[in-house]
Amino acid sequence: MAKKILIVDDSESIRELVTFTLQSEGYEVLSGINGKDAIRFLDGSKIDLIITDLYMPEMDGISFIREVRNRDAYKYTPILFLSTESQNEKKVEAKQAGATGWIVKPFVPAKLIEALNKVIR
Amino acid sequence: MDQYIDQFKEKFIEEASDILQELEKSLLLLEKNPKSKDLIDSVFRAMHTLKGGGAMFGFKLVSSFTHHFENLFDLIRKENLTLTSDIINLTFDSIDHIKILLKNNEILDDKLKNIHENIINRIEEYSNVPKKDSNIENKIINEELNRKKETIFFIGFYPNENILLNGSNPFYLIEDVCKLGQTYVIGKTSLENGYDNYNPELCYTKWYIILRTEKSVTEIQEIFLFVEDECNLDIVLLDNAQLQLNNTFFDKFKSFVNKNDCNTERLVEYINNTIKDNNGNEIIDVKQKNENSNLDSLSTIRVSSAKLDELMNVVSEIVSIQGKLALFAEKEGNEKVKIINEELEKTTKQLRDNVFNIRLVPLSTILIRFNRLIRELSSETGKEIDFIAEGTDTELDKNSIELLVDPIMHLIRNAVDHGIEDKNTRLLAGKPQKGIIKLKAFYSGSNVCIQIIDDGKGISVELIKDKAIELGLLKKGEKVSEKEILDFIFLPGFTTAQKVSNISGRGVGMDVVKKKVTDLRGDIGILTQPGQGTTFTLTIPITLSIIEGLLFSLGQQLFILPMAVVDKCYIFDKELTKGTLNNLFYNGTKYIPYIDLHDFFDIKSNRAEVQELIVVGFDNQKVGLVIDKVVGGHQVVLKPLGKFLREQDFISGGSILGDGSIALVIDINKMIRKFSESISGSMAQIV
Repeated sequence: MAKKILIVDDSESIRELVTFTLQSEGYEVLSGINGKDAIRFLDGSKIDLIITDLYMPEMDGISFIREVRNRDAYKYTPILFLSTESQNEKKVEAKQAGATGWIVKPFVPAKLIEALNKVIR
Repeated sequence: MDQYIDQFKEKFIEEASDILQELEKSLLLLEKNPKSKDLIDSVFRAMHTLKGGGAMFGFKLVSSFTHHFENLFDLIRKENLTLTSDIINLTFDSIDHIKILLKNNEILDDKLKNIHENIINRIEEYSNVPKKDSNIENKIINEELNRKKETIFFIGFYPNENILLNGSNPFYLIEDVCKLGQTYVIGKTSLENGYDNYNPELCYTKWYIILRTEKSVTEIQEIFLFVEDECNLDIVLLDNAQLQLNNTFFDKFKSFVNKNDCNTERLVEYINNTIKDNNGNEIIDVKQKNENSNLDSLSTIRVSSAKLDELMNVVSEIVSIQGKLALFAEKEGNEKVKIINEELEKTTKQLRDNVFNIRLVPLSTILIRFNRLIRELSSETGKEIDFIAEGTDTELDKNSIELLVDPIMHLIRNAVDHGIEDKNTRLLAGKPQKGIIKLKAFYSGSNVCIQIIDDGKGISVELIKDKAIELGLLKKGEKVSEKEILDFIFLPGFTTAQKVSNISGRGVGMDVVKKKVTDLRGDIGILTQPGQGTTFTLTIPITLSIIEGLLFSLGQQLFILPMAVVDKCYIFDKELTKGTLNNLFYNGTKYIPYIDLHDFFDIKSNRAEVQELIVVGFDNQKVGLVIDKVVGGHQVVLKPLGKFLREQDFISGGSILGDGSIALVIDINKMIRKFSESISGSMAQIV
């Protein structure tokens, strides 16, 4: 069965690019427009990997990561966040919230796949 | 994959325009409420998204430009800087500039380059406030200094057993370390209890790494940032920078590690005691996965308007054909045919509505531009203006809406410049200090009316008359109506402005406004009252429309009224008109003027025995139409009347009914206007 990946980003074009890239790789992709919106996917069938942006309206990435980690089913699910180079404090914060790693923005699709293969098997 | 990036580029441009629009909205709100944390956050996020997306999709200038802004708003967000109206102005300028940058990815001309640099300099000025946290910059400087010289580190990486559970893969971390410079890696696995109790989900290996690099400790630490809690990590700077990393050394090192149970301390000691002088190299290949570029389904797709038009036409045909079936089912069909027809009717209606709606967008999508324009003009001219928008959920064809932006902008500009007086003049005239410009939109039959109303000084008919005479457009003493005089302002080059200002008064514009509106098969009208203000009304047809109409007969001919204007239907009882002057009809509560359509259209055929009356509501007025018989509701596919009949005063189009007969669609707006003129205003007082 195809692995299921959740992408959370308030930017539609990024969401679509990621979705497109991942679908091309054979993954099943769910997408949410912010943390609050994405939570609804957590209680469905298990997601294998989560990719989230940090700055989003309603619920930002950090709170979303915390929300994910609060669920027993998602204790060990890899969570990657999207980040620009300049956000070092955010990286630490995201890590403390329970993120597994980050993907540096801007990324090319190949880079995304590469990062993904590091955490998903 | 790269060939698909273009598609996302377009998507991004669209998204960026939306974001900019939201941004303008937030800024306008911020102006009133500069302390709102939510708004500042949303501005910051918008900049952040633009920056990220810009970089992703190859808009380097947008990305680098917004970066400056993100920083600026980050400072404001963290309360290191106070948001002033200067900064808001600067942000507005920047939004305009970003719009340009989205169109030109490279700055080609000097003028643009100057603007670009100017704005960045201005942003930098604001950003250059003392920061509470200057550590980051110091760190960067230190890192710059360290970068020059290579150092050698020993890294002991001792993962906890459950490091694999959260998806971390030690190999990738090590691979990242290898990218920092020249490395030598030894992994040592210890299965204390053999394979009997081996759990494949746990990690039993530790790694020893020797790294020669220009990078700093922090950069190495960063790699392990996310496994910090799941491992012990030692990074030791080795004293001996002369250590040559060669195979001889590595062999020795390896056998030492294998023979001894090692901790960091012991190994560092060992290395420091070992000096060799050969060069060694190890390159680790990074696997590049081939990309698979299957085109999978997307959640949205872009379709050309031409295709939509085609679809609209086909749907119109289906609606007509369904109409035929309905008629057949009614007259000759058996029950089964009737049921099928009903189902088809429902689906056809859905199809029609869906297709129609694809093209429609609410007026509110362009509203923000007017908001901004007024804000800018207001600060430019020093006039205080309230902008009120009404009925902005009125929907129009997307193309029409876009083509309307310029004309409306122009009318607003005129209203600010010529209409609204300055503060003192207003106060002297007994008006409130703040001027009002109102944008009002509403449906009027198959049209949408958009009014730009100001409460300024009005247009002086005399002034226009004088000017027209001066230009030789009018002879002195010639008798013309007020409307005809006002229409002069739509002529090219016609202006009464004494001074040419920055905003308007160059005589360029009103003719263009008129042309753009007529291009949309629309109409523009002026109402003005000296001292009270001016109203421009743009009447734009909802193009390609299929409307819900009320079908009625008048003699042999069928007519259609847009259902939206229909208020109520009555049996026309002559009793109810008794005791009233002119054509007034008493509906039980009040008198309503009516038009006898037999007379109005000069239809000679016999009247029905019992006539009916349809009350239509239009712009706060109610008017009755005396007709023969209401046939019923009907889905109307509006067709233009064709070249020769297009110039009709009261008929906006026609529709072919199921049985092939033709019904004419009444333009109620124009009819009532004509009617009001004929009874010369007496109506308004009675109603």
